[in-house]
Amino acid sequence: METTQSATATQPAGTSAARDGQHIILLESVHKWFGKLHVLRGINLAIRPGEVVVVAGPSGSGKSTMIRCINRLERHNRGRVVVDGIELSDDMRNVDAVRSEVGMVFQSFNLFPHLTALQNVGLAPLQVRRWPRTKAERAAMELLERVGIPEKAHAYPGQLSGGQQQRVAIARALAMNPKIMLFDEPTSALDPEMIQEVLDVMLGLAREHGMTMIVVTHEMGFAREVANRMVFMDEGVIVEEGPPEHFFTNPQHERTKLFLSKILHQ
Amino acid sequence: MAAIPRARVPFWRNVRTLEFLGQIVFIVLLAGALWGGRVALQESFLRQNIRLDWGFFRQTAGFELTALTWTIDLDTWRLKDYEPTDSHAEAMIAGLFNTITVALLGIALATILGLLVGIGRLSRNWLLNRLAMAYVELFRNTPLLVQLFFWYFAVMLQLPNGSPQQPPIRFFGDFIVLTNGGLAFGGTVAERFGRLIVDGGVQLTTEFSALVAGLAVYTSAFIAEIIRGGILAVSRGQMEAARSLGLTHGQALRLIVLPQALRIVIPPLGNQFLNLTKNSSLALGIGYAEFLTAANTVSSQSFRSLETFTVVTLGYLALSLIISGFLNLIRARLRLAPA
Amino acid sequence: MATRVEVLPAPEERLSAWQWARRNLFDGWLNTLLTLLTGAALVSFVSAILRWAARAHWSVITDNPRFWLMGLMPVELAPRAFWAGGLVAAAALLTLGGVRVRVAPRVLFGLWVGIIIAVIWVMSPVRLDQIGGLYLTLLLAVVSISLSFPIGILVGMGRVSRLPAIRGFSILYIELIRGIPLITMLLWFFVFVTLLSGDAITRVERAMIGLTIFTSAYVGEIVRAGIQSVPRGQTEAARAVGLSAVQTMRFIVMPQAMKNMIPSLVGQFISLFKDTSLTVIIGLSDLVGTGRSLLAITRYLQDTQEVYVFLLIAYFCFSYLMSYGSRLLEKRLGLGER
Ligand SMILES: Nc1ncnc2c1ncn2[C@@H]1O[C@H](COP(=O)(O)OP(=O)(O)OP(=O)(O)O)[C@@H](O)[C@H]1O
Ligand SMILES: [Mg+2]
Repeated sequence: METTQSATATQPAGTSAARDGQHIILLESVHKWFGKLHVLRGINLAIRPGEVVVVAGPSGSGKSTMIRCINRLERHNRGRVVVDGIELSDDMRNVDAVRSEVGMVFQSFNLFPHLTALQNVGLAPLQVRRWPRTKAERAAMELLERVGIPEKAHAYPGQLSGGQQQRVAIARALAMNPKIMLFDEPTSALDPEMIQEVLDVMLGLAREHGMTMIVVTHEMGFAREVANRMVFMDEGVIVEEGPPEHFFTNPQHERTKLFLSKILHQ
Repeated sequence: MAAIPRARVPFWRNVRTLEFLGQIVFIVLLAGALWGGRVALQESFLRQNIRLDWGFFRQTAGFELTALTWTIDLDTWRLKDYEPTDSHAEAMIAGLFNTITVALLGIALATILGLLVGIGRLSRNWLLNRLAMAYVELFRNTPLLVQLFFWYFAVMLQLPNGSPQQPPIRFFGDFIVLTNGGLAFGGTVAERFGRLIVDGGVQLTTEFSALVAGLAVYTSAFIAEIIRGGILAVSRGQMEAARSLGLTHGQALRLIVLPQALRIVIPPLGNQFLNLTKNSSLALGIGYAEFLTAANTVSSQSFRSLETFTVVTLGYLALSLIISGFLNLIRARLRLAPA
Repeated sequence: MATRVEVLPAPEERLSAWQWARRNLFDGWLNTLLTLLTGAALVSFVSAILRWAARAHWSVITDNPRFWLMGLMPVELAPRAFWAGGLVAAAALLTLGGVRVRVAPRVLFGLWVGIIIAVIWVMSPVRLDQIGGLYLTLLLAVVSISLSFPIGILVGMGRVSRLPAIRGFSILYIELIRGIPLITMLLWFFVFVTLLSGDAITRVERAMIGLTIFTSAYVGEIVRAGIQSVPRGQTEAARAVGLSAVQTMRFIVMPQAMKNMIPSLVGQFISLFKDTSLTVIIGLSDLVGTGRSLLAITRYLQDTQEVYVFLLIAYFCFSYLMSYGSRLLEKRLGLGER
């Protein structure tokens, strides 16, 4: 298939050399269809522990679908997805194991509106890890402090601003102590003045905790500052990837150039 | 080439296999239950020495229906008047026709009444508003069957009997005449055998009048709430927007609010129509010969209750499916129609 | 902490009775006319009712309180029924008070479990078919509600299941039952059970089962709508933090769905309460049946209007109480969230 070939061709030499278990996330020619719609058309991606990868691309290019395949909110139809040595398959044990190793932050927060911020964060440790309530609450409180809103612990999501909600959502995703965090456009539903507070939390995660992160975002300032690698997707394939310095100053592909010119001129 | 070998998933941990097996087990259990029921029924039939027999439907019914209507002649497939010499099946078809008559009339009346009460419910006049609310609450919060009993036993049957001591109630001259024998429109009152009797015009039996009145009033309470909700749902912002474009209050109501309210209102209204049709089976309580009552008579005459009630159940199911299919068609139209 | 801006309540308008009447009854000639017409109609209607009520023979009600309450229950068992009724009434009052002062739901739940055990113990010597009147009506309603609720939740969850066999079965069940009038279903069920098992299952039990099968389908449909009203992102977020499908249902979807479901659920249960009256057609002596058997006594032959008016009032009170309770619950649940 033509697209697959071009995707393989653009793959940097460095990644294919290192398929020996030192990758925490490995996607091998992953395909995904929604009905007849071919959304992922052979994705190859390998990520090392501690790496921060920023994914960009036009709307509908399959960015969300790709990262949702990593924690199996979507099933891939072909290819392999290996997360921390566990291959995602129909084995139910694997799915459960992976879900608690991968945290996810959504564009629209998806906080549980009937629970307080503290309960939102503490729910998974309490129910999945079966921690005692006091322990779960203490851990949740620590996380809320880490994202900078301990004073809102007993507020309901409806009483929080967008930025505060997203920070609670990050704390919730961290509650299971994941090795990997996935962010799907975490700031694009926020008012401009709240974007920075969320980015700061993410920055802290990457810098101070060495978290492995895949971030779908169009915040190019953030990408320049934090990303180890930029990935550009279009029409279900990875068109181009590389370190941000190269990516921004010297894009190789027409589609990348076009996209960058659009996004940087806003 | 990959460093991590492709793991083989044992089937007892494979989600898809488990889901598949689970469904197979479910279907097997279900089939087993049905089969068990069938066997038990057969044994019980053997024990009680009965057999299912559908032939009785073509035997002579031999009973009158309280309101004579048409039926379909099952030999010629023509419409005809029902007579006691017709078969059981034809008696039930007559009942079905009665059900349809009651439903159509009831739906028309309920809609008119519901519209009036719903508008009253929206009135700025406090007294009218509260009155409409009391109407809605009263009829929604009491059982339809008790309301039907009330209309039939406590209202219709307590009316004057038309003798000179108890002359019939008349409205508009002789146009509407009301006795405990029924309701007559547009006939002339004449005395015969010491009683005042209506000649000609449209005459409705007591059971029919009580049934239609009861169904219409009950359903109108629900319709009123639907109408009120529909108009409230569009009116505020839309009304202001329309007024700011320079439309008058009347124009805004007619051109902007009502068409939109209609869209909101029609689906739940359709459900109420369906409910009214199903509820007409409560006529069994007051003995008006619609579908269920006719079937009940057939059942008690032929001692073929399981067969009869199975047919009736399927008949109502078909009726409901036809009506809801029709409603879905309208709904689809509404979605497509330009705003 | 954010700085606080003082929020002042809007200046309260206090209208004199006269001002209020002008505003709501007599503004403009059209409204005045409407008020006068409605008022006149209302006055004549109410006075007619009052005149009727003054003439009516209420003895059919007042002379037979025990019959209305429990039908033909043997006299020696009646005190037990009074005890049971008193217990339930007390529990209901306590619950109402408890909801107002916000006692933990767990406490109220425990209270009801205790009361139910006590009632079952007190009523144990009474056979089901000895119960009649209001007691039978309430028993039918309570049993069918408490059975159709869990079944309806299962069916509603099956209705949105990914698995085709389960979804198909749930759809079939829901659509089949909803297409048939209750009375038709009850009649068919009675005939079927009689053919199958003779008299092994009493008529009261048949009515309970029939009402439960019927209401479960409607509850299932309400549950389906409730589940689908919860955004998909909620399930995804729950699965993403590692909750299992069952935990997601229990801790995330159901609590939110339940809040949306309460009005229609209570509506359905009021409807079921009203529908218990249909059992009179299949020969049960519930509240309506009691009224009709009183009307068959020579002394009361003429008292149709009194009996049916009383029945209407009785059913109205209970239904209205239920919808009042539901509004209270909605208010209570609506607080603090969103
Ligand atoms: N559940 C679904 N069912 C069917 N089609 C879907 C589904 N989810 C996504 N799609 C389609 O798959 C394609 C890729 O979607 P995806 O959400 O991955 O794009 P994206 O790159 O994240 O875009 P955006 O920037 O708008 O979020 C789109 O055409 C979308 O319409
Ligand atoms: Mg997306």
